[in-house]
Amino acid sequence: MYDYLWLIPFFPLVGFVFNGLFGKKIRNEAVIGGIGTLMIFLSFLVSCGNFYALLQDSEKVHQRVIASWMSVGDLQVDWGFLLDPLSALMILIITGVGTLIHLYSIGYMHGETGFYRFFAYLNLFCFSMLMLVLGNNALVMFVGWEGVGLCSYLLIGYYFEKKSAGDAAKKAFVVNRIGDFGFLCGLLTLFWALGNKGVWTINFVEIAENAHLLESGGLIVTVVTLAFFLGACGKSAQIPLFTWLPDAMEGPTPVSALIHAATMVTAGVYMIGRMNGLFAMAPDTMMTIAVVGACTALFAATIGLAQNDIKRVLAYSTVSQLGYMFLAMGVGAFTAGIFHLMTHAFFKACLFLGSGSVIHGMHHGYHHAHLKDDPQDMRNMGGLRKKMPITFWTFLLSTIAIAGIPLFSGFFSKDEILWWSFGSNRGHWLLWLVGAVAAGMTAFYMFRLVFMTFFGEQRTDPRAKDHIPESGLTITIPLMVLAALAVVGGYIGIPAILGGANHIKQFLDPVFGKAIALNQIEAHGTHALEYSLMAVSVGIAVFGIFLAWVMYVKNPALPARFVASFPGLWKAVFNKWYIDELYDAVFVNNCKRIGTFLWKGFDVRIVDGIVNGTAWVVKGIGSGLRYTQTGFLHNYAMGMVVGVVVIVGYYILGK
Amino acid sequence: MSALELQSLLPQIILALGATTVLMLGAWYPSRKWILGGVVIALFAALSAGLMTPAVPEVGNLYSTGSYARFFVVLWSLLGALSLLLSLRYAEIHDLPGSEYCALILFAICGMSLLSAATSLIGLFLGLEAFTLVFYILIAFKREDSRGAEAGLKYLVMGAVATGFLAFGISLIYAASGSFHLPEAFAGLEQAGGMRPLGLAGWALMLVAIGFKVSLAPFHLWTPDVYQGAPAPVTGLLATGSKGAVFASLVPLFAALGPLKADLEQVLWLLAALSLLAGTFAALPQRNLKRMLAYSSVVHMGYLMIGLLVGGSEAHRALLFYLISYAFATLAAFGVLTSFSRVDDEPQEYADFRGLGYLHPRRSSLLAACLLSLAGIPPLVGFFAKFGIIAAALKGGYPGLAVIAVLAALTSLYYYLAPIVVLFMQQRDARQLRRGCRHEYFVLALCFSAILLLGVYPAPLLDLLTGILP
Repeated sequence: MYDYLWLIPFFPLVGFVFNGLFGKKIRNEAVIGGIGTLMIFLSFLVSCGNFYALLQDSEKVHQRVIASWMSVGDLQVDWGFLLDPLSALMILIITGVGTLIHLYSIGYMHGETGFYRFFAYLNLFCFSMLMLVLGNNALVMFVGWEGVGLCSYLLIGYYFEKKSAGDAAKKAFVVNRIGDFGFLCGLLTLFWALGNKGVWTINFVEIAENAHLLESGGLIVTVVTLAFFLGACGKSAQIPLFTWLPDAMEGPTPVSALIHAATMVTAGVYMIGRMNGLFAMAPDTMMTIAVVGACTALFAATIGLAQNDIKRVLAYSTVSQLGYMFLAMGVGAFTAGIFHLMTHAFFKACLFLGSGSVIHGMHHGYHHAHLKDDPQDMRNMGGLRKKMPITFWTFLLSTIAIAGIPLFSGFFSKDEILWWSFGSNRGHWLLWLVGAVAAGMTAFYMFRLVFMTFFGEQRTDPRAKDHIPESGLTITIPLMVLAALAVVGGYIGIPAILGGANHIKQFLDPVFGKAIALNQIEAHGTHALEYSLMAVSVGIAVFGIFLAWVMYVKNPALPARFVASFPGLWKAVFNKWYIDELYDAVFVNNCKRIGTFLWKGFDVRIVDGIVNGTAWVVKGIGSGLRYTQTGFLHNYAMGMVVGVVVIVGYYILGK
Repeated sequence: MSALELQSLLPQIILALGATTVLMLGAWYPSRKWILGGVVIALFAALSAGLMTPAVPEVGNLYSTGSYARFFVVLWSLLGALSLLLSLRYAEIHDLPGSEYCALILFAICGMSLLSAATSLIGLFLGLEAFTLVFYILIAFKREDSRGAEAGLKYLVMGAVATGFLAFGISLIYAASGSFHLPEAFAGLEQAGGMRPLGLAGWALMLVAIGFKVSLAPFHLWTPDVYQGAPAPVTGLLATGSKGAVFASLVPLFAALGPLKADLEQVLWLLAALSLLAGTFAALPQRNLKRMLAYSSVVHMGYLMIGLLVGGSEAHRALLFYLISYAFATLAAFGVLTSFSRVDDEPQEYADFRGLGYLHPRRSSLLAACLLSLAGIPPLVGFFAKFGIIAAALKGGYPGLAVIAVLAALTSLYYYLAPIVVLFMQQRDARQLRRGCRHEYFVLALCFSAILLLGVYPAPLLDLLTGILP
């Protein structure tokens, strides 16, 4: 089965080539969307086969090389794939959720002019993402890493005629480049450091095997992991590189669901998981990751409290949840981080697709009434639960899951993270506190969203009000599947304390077990402590929901009163703590200024002066040589004869 | 010559007989469709060379039938087939006689294939002259074009001089060693004897002739005039196949050279360095694409010369890889020029291309890609090729040449970017040029995929080259 691993990225590539080349000519949406969806579905089937084979297999790490890429000196780089529990889980998520979102897009993108372009990019994205997680060495991963960045850019800028979309795409690309720089620095430093120990490799398995050659906790390991972490920050939108993700919501909603919630943004978490052996050796880096993760979780949650755009709330929620995953990685709870990555993929994809369904309906209503109102503004919604029952129920289930209510998937993964951040020897009670408070805020803003959208009076313009339909089957089927997963997805990771077997921990143990044992990372505490922490976090979540209910259902006038009494605070939160403005003032404008100086002062005067001077001299020589080119045969023959005389003379006289 | 030997030489025989047949039948049924027939014959020859296992390793002590020789039969046949496809529309527009044109190209391919397989000095001479003769005609094939006639005449006169040197050099070597067969000819020169200076002088004369054929400085002066005057598809084949075949024949020759190489070393060093420098400097002020490509080809020949000089299987592999990468990029560049050309003119001045990138975006981008590959910009194949040659020079102990090569590569960006700037960054005032036809697009797409794929994934070709190198 493992020999067919290459098929997994291959199918979406075929879809991309097909739709990219012929999509424009075909024009039939059923064919284009069908091919795009079928290809990723085939990948899903192959992934399932491989996953099953791996479950049955006692050997858990398999590499398959399809071709040699290059061999330079002692370095051999292959187009090779690596299947282990971690990548097996990732490909299942990517292809599974990917299939559902492709299916959803057929309905959602119906009638768009660039329909084929959308599906081509979406397939290309899946190809790149699968290369990223399946690559057996850092260079193949980097190809995927850059590929997903490119697709993200193309898809955010899908409505490129809109200036805001173009700007958002550019912002995402530039911020990601900063992260990519970190990734490359880390990769090269690691390559050099291992090479100094006699191992020239960028293969992940070999890196893991030889990581012990580097000094544990030493400077090199810390620098390498910090650089990689910078790369992860860019891709996964962590402080300080998170600003691009909310803007990325300019892309179509399926893109937000697939790329900016379920898969691409988790690439940073995956990368840390892939190199857990190195990260575990660098406690300082781990602490940094945990602190950054916790701060991002809290910070983004506060911004989410005050947004009125339905997708923006979800975007900040994504940043916040990614913060949880980084918190998990930072305190050594690698399994919990990946577990949360999975459950988050389910419920956040469902939430985004649900919001898309709502936007779709609102848009339909406004279109019908020839209005130009914003279909994403929650202040215009309300009472939609009767108009869109399926969307409502699936959305509600996913919201309960993300809020961390027991028995739903988010509870298990989030609780595992909170427990580790308290009990782990790499954790701290402050980290737990920050995480718990952010969890309360999450429950609050998510239920605020549900109440504002689906409950209460309908605030939509009366002309459009009665023309908001439930979405079609291609949209609701993915919603129902994802909502079901959001409910039950957590059961593979029920902790022992609740009587579960924690299957996912055992499954991922071949990947993480060694590093955890080697670096003695463990969470310890009494059962009573674990139970009480659990109770506290559930209590906070319930309180958040209650507060949202009071403020947005029971007494809708309350928020306005709150705003009136704390105008400054509310404004700061609403304006995202002015982070964008701060970055503009500190980095962007100064960079522009330095750039302008370098261009006008340094480049034009000094560099161009030197270059032009050199070019002038060289060109002069060239023009001089031109005189040899007379066009007369006898001159040419003369040149030849001179050459002959010199060479023959050299041999006869010189030897 | 036995039947087995004839059978082993089947690909070349297919080419020669096919060319003769086309020529004869063309006298009765004149048609430009013969060019397509030529494509089929060339592909057939390539197929037979690729699939058959020769019965004898060497034919008549003249030509090898080893995998190395057969690889080049395939390569030249494919290049020839591509040139023929490119010429189809061109011949129609310029009213060229199809069967004769086709037969000449097939003869040229046959000559190149023989040259690449030569194992004796006679075989080498025959192969070389076979296609040089053909090019005398092909260069001046547009009879009413005065520039073409002038180019043809120049090539003829200079070529005749070079042939004289070659024949004289071969006779001197024969006189010194008593053999035409290459290994024996070298062995005869190795013994220090009274005849040794004579043999060395023979070698010197041969180098001169070879220098002329591949246009190494200072024997390169004919190149720009001929490139400019010859029809674009012919120039494409002249720049790739005829030069490539000479290098392909030199690689096994130098591999077998033994201690004699020490005597040739300084001259080769000088030829390589001079070509790199003279070509680079002369290319800089050019405002004509064909002339620029002519000078830049002098530089490329300098790179190939480095590979030859360094020696050893790795350097030779780098040389062959460079040769192939150069061939595809150059053929495609001349292919673009061919596809632009109209009845009255063949656009080649930079002024003809101003802003053309907006009128003909696909072909302009392709031309830009070819130029970038020739300049050695990753991820195109030219990057790997240059990298291989320079790495080989460093490993082989020629740091001076490596430095010159790097400087030449850096400077080359200037003259390769100049036409790209003209194409894409200048006010659009170029006239609409001819629309390309299917055959031309097919050839161009093929070359482009080769440039791109070999750049991203060079491993299979490198493995293949390792396998065939003697």
